[in-house]
Amino acid sequence: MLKGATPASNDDEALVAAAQAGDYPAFEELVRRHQKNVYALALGMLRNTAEAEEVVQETFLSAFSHLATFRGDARFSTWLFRVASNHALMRLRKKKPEPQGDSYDLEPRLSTAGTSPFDALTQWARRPDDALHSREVEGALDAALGRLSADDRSLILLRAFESASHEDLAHQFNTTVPAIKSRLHRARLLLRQLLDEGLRGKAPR
Amino acid sequence: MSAPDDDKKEPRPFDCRQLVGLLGDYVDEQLPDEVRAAFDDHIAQCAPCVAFLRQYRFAPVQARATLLQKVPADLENRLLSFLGDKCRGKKPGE
Repeated sequence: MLKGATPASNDDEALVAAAQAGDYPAFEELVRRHQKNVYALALGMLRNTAEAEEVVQETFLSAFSHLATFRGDARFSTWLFRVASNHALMRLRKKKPEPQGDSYDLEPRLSTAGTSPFDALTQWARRPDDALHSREVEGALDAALGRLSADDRSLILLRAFESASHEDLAHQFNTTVPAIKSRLHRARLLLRQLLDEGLRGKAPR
Repeated sequence: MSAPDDDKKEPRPFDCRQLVGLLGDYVDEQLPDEVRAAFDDHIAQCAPCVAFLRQYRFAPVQARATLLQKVPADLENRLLSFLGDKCRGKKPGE
């Protein structure tokens, strides 16, 4: 279930209506608003800057071509992210299988309160941007994302960028809602663990 | 993992490892009210679980923030130019 509409999404509705009627500058404004998130999602899923930019182009071309079919049942951004993730997933599925993060030994450590760099970081960083001033954090996170399987990475990012519903994710990954919830939980646990180990400077076991 | 419960006001309804299994439903606000209340009771008394929950929530949010930092500054101009060549002068769906 998606969260409530934001003021920006309400503004999107008027722009979509104008764009559907042939107002090209309205479509350009929708592009300006959403291109960063679409690129970041595609980059996170594909981990390749050239492919991420191609997916952004494909996404907005598809959006323009199919804008007449958008009925406003979901937010425009949700619809757009669905288009983007479909393009990115198609590319991922054409690639050779990559090492699966699922084989990683997942053992939640619960006894680190106050003792780990990650714990110190999450206590200190009030907002996500606060922590980005550290190249160490950025590097550890990038490495952690890279160790996840493409599907695990995609699940986490689709949920993080647009609060994609479990139903949507189950449909996109061709599985059931209980299965997708279980996979998403496991992927989040793994990302937390890999980031924790990266921040401790330990090689993953 | 859990400390002895001798000094606790109330017994914990589940242990730390069981709580980890509920984290996904907790952060996605899918737990039934009574289970969520028991979850909240547990973390109110358990610093390791508070730390773990904070990290579990933080990692995906931080991933999103990190990726947004990598968006090229000139992406917007390149994209608008590309789309203008393909779409300007047409109605959507033409």
